[in-house]
Amino acid sequence: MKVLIADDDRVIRRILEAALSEWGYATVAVADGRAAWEALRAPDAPRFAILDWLMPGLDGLEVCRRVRELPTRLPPYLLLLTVRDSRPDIVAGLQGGADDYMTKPFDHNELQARLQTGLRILRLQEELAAELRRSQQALELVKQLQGLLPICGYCKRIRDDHDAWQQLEDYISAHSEARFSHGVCPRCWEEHVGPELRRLGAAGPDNG
Amino acid sequence: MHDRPDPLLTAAPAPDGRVLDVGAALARAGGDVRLLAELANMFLEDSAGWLADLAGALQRGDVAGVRFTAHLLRGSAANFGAQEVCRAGRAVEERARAGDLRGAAAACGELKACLLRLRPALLALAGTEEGNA
Repeated sequence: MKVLIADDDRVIRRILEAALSEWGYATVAVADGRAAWEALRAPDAPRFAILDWLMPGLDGLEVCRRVRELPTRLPPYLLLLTVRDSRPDIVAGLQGGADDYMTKPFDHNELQARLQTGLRILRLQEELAAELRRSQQALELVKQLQGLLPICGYCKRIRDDHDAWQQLEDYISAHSEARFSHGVCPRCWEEHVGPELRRLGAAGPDNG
Repeated sequence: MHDRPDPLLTAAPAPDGRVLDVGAALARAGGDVRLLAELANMFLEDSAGWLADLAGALQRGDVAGVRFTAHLLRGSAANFGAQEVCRAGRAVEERARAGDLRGAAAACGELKACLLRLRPALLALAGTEEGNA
């Protein structure tokens, strides 16, 4: 797991880098809010960010607001780490888009526990997103089977998306979880199989 | 600003005799004495620059600049348990927030004095790097 550290104080950055590295996290550190925003909107953006509030460029709260406007199913977990310790600041930080809020100077054990909490939430998000993807794929299949299917009036083959004509059972097998077991219905037995057997001189089960 | 004695030259010891909390600072460095020395060196270098920035912002009448730098300084000092510096930094920040530049300048004098008292303790921490090399 890669964690973004954004703080204009290099003492804090160094403390966080050392602690997170000790706990097994990869880190990327930046010294201002604009660099934090660029890192969080990049294709390979870290999924977890520890942001100072007051920074040059953009402040941490503005970074939170912008990140929350990004159209993504997997938004990063944002922790504001700041010396601003008043209740109104904490409320404003959380309402502004932060997932968590800690005040400086921070306790190592508390930060480690909050990172683990954040990771649990990120994993849940990923599992939900994967489940949603699976559900949408299943829904697409259902939609395909519910749509208007071009079928040959004579041979009953179905035209697929690539203009190829497929046997009905092949088409359904390819577009659903259904599988076929082959048998002969009584009517077809009477109309086709029985006469053929009689023609060959053998008796069918119904004929004793 | 130069007609009064420089507080850096007239600093008195902190009333409680503690300018920083070595235990808390070491805990924040994960118990790593070498890292703590590195951090102390960083703060010694950076705080000198921040004081210069504060003086510049005060001279320009840049309230936002005063507030921003005081905020940064007290946040960094908090890592060393330097309560006195944190309190003084907060006073500068609050005066600046209130638009009181004269008050901020006075509070900045006290902040300089606190930093001067903190300096020997930080130098001792920074020296541990050499002592362990």
